Amino acid sequence: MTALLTVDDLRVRFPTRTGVIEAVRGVSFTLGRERLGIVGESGSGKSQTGRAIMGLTPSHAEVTGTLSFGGIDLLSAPPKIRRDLRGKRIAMILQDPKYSLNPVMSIGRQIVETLRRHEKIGRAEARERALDMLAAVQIRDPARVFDLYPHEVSGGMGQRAMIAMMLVAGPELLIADEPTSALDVTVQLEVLSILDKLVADRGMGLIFVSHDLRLVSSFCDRVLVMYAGRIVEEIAASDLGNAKHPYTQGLLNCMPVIGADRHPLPVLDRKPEWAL
Amino acid sequence: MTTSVSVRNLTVSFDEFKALDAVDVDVAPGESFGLVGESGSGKSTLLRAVAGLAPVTEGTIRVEDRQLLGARRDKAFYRSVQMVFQDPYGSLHPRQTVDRQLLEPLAIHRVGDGERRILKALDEVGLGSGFRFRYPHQLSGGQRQRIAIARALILEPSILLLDEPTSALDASVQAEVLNLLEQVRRDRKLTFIMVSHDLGVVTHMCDRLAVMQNGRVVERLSSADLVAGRIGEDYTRNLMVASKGFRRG
Repeated sequence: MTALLTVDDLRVRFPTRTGVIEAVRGVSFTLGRERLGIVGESGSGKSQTGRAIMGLTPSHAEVTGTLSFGGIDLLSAPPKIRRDLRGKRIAMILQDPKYSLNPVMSIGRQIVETLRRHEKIGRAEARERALDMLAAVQIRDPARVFDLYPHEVSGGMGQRAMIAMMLVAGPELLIADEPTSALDVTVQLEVLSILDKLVADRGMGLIFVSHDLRLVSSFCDRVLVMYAGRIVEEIAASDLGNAKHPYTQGLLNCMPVIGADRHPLPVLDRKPEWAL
Repeated sequence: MTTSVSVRNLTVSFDEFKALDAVDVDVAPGESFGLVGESGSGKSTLLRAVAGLAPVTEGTIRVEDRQLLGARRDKAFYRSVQMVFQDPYGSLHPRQTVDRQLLEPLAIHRVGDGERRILKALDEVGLGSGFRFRYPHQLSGGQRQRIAIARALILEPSILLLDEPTSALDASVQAEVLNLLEQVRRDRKLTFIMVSHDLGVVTHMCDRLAVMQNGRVVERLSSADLVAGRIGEDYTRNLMVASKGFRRG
């Protein structure tokens, strides 16, 4: 398997008044055309890892290490190159469509914008492609939704529009940061199955960032578990039952499960040595 | 049957839109009752209507055999009914210390012995007195929700309304907060009405639950029925399937 993305010793540091906070502390992995899950609690550095790959780290933060995508060294690449990659070859789906879509632009225009930014393409053709993409994310009446504004659609519909926008330029790598956490449980499954199908059909690499270990393991081939900015365990999703690290086991056990009568629920007993 | 909270034919309208449509719910004293449904199903509105935070168009609410009129609630009501909200980041005053937030309900109700009560409340939710003079931004999400629970408990209410108390928290922190809620319910023989979109959480915490959709209760069942799959409505079954997580189909 050829590597699509190689991450080596990635570190993200934020200088603050009380000293430097290292959000990501030496993360390394390679990604082929596969689905990789990154799981952890808030503050574990999972989102910052995804953002660093996308190039969305705030400018006051310091990013070191190696990020190599298709032979391009992302961290030393000039901004122009990164802009050309972002949206075209690397795309990112964010958590909440309420905040990640532009509220004053119609959904169709936002999708067309991505296309016209990255391809020399006529207005009519761009519209055609956008409508096709909206149909591909199973929006029933693409022509109507094309002209709607984000506040006029439901959360599930908004997130599908977001997926359409991200996939329309045909990226090779998709980073999904909690793509369904803001959605209702019943809608979550719809959105996930659409995402699943599109990722499989197009042979993209996917990085799925989430705090929900069970969800990630049902969606991905391989899971990285992060704690305090480091990867504490890497495990095949099918092998999750045999997780070795107590943190991974704790994350698996602490969810209330229908039918399991466990009072009180097992809680994580955080050991300081996990963060070393 | 004596009821702790009894809701009859409750309708809440916002202009043309009926957020609640003729809902009946009875909760027995000491019971833990769950409300499940998607966003917009009216589950939170029902809680808010009981607390006097939503305009009641029609129907009656009785709490501990006292009929409540309109949206007005007297002090005695708030001594027996308290609420914990979803978002611990939004429900605590950002510029007040924990100490002040806990003192406020005591001051309103002219309860003395504040010092002892605050320390006891903090202790009860598993936070030491070291947290007493901190501001909300100095606390994690789980700690904030513990403070919100302490604030609700400090007046020693008999009924706690819980509106998605753990959905803003990490799974590991959720387990801690759920354990805390179960503990205080056992210790104080509290009545819970708990709203959640997570069937796992509701079956874990509640004896009985009502499934809501579009402002109506579509099904009432016990947690045991739900676990055993004795489900009458397709909608409930859908929620059940959804809660089991993603399947590649």
